[in-house]
Amino acid sequence: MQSILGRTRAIALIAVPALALGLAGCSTGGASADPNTLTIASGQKSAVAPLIAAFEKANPGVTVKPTYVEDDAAYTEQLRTQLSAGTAPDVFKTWPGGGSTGGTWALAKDGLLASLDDEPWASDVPDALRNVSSWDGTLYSLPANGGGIGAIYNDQAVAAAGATIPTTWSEVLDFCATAKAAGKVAYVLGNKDSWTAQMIPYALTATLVYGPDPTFGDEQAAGTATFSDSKWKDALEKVDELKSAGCFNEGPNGTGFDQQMHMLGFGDALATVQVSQALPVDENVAPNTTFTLAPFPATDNAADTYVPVAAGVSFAINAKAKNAKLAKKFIDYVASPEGQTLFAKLSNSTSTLPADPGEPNAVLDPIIKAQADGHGTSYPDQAWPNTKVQEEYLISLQEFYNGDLTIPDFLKRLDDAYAAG
Amino acid sequence: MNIYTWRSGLREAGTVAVAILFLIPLFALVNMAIKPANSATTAFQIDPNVTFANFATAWTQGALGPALVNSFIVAIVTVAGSVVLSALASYPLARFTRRWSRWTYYLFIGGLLIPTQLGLLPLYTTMRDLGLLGSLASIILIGIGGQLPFSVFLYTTFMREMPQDYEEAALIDGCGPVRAFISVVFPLLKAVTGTVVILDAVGIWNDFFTPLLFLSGSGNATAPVAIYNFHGQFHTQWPLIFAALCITVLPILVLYFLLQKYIIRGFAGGLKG
Repeated sequence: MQSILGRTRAIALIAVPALALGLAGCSTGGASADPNTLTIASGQKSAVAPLIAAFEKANPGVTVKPTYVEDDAAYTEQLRTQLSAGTAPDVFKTWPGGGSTGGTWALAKDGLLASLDDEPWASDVPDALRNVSSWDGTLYSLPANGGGIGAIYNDQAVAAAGATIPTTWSEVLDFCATAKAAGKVAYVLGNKDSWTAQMIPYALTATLVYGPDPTFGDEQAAGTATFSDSKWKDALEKVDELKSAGCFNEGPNGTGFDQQMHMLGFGDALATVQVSQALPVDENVAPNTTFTLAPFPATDNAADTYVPVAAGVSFAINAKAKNAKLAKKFIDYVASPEGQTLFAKLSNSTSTLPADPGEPNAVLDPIIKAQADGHGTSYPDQAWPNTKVQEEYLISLQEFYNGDLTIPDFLKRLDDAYAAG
Repeated sequence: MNIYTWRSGLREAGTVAVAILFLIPLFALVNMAIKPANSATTAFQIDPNVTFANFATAWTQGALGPALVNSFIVAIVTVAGSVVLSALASYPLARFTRRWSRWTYYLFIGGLLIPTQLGLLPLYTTMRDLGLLGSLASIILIGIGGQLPFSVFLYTTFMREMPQDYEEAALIDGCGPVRAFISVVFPLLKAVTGTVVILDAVGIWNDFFTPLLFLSGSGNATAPVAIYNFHGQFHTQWPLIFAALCITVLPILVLYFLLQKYIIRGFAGGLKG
């Protein structure tokens, strides 16, 4: 029997490397070394793929090898692994600020991003987006497009129910009553995809917290303000009020984003509070239907309403990019007026840097107007110091919508997560 | 004597009811696959406008052909490697009763306790250094390594229950230990081998993250990664996803039906130890 072990070992020792070497023929590396080949990782393929095609067309001889991962968690895990191993692509999608381990702050803090300070467009980055695209005063990501959070209304369904788009909080409650009387859902929630659950509180805190007090984030960082002692409490109380008024669909935690948008498209729901990038609703679902994006009010004075606006997709360059020159060329193209106009159109977003004049997407007017009027606030999570706050926020929201969590406990959890650094 | 009583009828009705219950997910899977893209019906409602075009669209748009070929290569080589290595490794572990064999066995079983995420980065850098990133070899090697602990557990416990008479007879007749293993022992392991094959194949066939990470940027994709391309952050083509799932689930379903009689026997043998 001793010989069995010896042979087993021998077979294992020989077989595994042989198998590995035998199948290694089609191996590929990470970032590109060819001066005319650029590697890119991103999500939102429907918008980024045509952008890459336009870049290739504008730069004959250049080939871009893209990788698309739509799921944020899988994308982040893949990116972090590749960055650690030195095989990450030359250019990749990142998020503004510090809410995610794949966000600009977290990556720049770990020295994984190349500085963009010397790029010709660097001074054009709006002040509102500069902080979330920088770390320690150095610019590390290009906010490639912008979007915002508002209420999206199905125009035909609203008219059929005899309702009008509300501009004040009291009108929101009236809107719910009218929808209910017509047998429709006023504001459909899709909390099964937890990222969607945060929209209404974000929309409300823009008007109640971050608009009136633009330094709230800084005060939190300095330890002089907390979630519990802020008007976050009022915002969550208003969500409770919406729940009590029957504004939402049954079982919001069991409804996913797709179902949410289908209900809106089919007219089973009159509206939903979502990011502007959720438009247009799939034409297969809602043919011949028009939608209006409107600020979601939180007070009875329409002029007080603020809109959360933020960079959508940001692009950064790998600090160890194999082809840094071409990577900068791509980023410069996206930041150019031509690239800005094209990407805004492709992603149904607003441009963040000066763009070519063109026909603006009319549905996004409220976001553009809010920014122009100084009534835009950034998404709260982009200024949170760690990823724990967002994780806790999303978990707590589902419990809160389920009626299993009180507002003080909710806010205490957020404060604790924030304090964890 | 009529042995079919009302009790038998009741039992049969109960069995049929349970079978129907188990068919519900399958119904939802197929029903979703034959809906038009604009269907307003739920997974459990049948849309009057049934369409089979989703299958053709999923096949062409998702490039399912090459993805299935990749999945087949990965599954076959991984399962074969896992069966050969774990059966060979288990033989001495089951037959030797010395201290080292017990600790070696525990070392193998310890692999079950290591979270996948913990080994991800070292595995990734190892594959990078071997020049295997982007090739099917990387996920085959990881697959074999990942399946070894449970396969060794099943084989070893099964072999410990097996009488040694046949092996001893073979040795007396002049067989060497390797010949005895190949000609006598391994054929007796049919039941547990069936279990190992089906469990390993299902695990490998459905694995999403390993091929996503290790094949990234190579143009290679396995079936789950190809299906995932129908998923977008703001727009997901569910009918195409379900049509693609129907197509890709078939090979593993056929394998399961072919080997199902071994599965329970293999488990029973494995768990007895």
